Amino acid sequence: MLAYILSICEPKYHPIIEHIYYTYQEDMVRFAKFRLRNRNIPNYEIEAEDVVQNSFIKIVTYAYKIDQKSPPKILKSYVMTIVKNESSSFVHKFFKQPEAEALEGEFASMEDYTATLNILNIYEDIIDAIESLDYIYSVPIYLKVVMDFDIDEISVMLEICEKTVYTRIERAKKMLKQKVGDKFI
Amino acid sequence: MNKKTGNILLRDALIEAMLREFDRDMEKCEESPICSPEHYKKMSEIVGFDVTKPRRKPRMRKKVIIFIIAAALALTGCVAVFYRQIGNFIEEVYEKYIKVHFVEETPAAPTEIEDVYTLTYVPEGYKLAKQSINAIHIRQEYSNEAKDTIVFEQNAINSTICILDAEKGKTIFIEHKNILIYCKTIKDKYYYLWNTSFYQFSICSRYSLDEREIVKIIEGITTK
Repeated sequence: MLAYILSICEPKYHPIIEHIYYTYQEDMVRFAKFRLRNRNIPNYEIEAEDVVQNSFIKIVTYAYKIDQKSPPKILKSYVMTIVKNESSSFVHKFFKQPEAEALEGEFASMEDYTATLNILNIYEDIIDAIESLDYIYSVPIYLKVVMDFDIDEISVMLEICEKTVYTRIERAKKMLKQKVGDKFI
Repeated sequence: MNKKTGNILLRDALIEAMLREFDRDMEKCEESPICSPEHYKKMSEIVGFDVTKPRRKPRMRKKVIIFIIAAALALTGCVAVFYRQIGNFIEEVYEKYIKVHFVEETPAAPTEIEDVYTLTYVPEGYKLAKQSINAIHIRQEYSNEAKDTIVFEQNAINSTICILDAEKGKTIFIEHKNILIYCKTIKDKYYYLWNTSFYQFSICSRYSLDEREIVKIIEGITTK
């Protein structure tokens, strides 16, 4: 798989892509197999290989977004988020589940939202709230906040329209606020 | 609580949440990380070569380098004066330079570097100044306040060829604990080459290191 991935990757990103491959590829395969098996996907082992391959294609496509000096924790969370999205998206399409409806109206910025949080007191609550989000909400907000993806980049990465990206980020914010909002000071 | 702190902590919470979910799943995961033969077959069809076999790219590059140099030299009339083998080393001695490589390929050796080595001992006053690492070559440059440099390099054993300017060079060998160290003195440069089963190592400095220093450096080499 590495040979194929490097063949579609600009040479200047080869070191970081090779690092990701050698460090995380086995965990990515195991993670994808685990998630697909748990959702009773037939031939989950074969499908998981395609999921990991697609994950690498996405990582290579946005290799410029990876800060090569960022701590391993951030790189690992990013790589596994991509695999999580690809495996969940695969399951979603396999079972032909409907997409979330788009909301109408204006969308508040991330800065307006985070300014209202008293995060020092509710850090663990926020983590729990994020973990309770469906992947269709947690992945876009992760890409926006952690990896600083633009809306159009998230749209291409997740293969959804820009309006859906806005919708899902806004819903994620609302759901997080519902779970932790009562603890604001 | 200001906006900037809120943004930073939300970012940290998102990272932590993703990692916790992954770690939780992996605790329960009993899946194998090995891909299926069908996957490797598909990859091989895409890239046009068998991905399950070691890729001899460095060796091909070595052949290309040798061919280009040989062709250029043929045009200039330079021909190897003689070949000599000492231990694991083969010298191809030309009029104005020497090529040094290792006797035979080690089939089991990796074509890419799997273990990165570094020096734990350097002569007094030297510190690591530059480092570059890629899949088949590692280079670490140590320098002192006087800007003298000691360059340590690591290459995969089957992908190595060293070209030394050797107009008036002198070659000696040092043997230490079954390691044969090829030492070449050329003008104002001193080269020290040795190998393990998988890797070739070299040190180049602008002043002579006595035998004890070289041995101390080699004995202090360890994986990172």
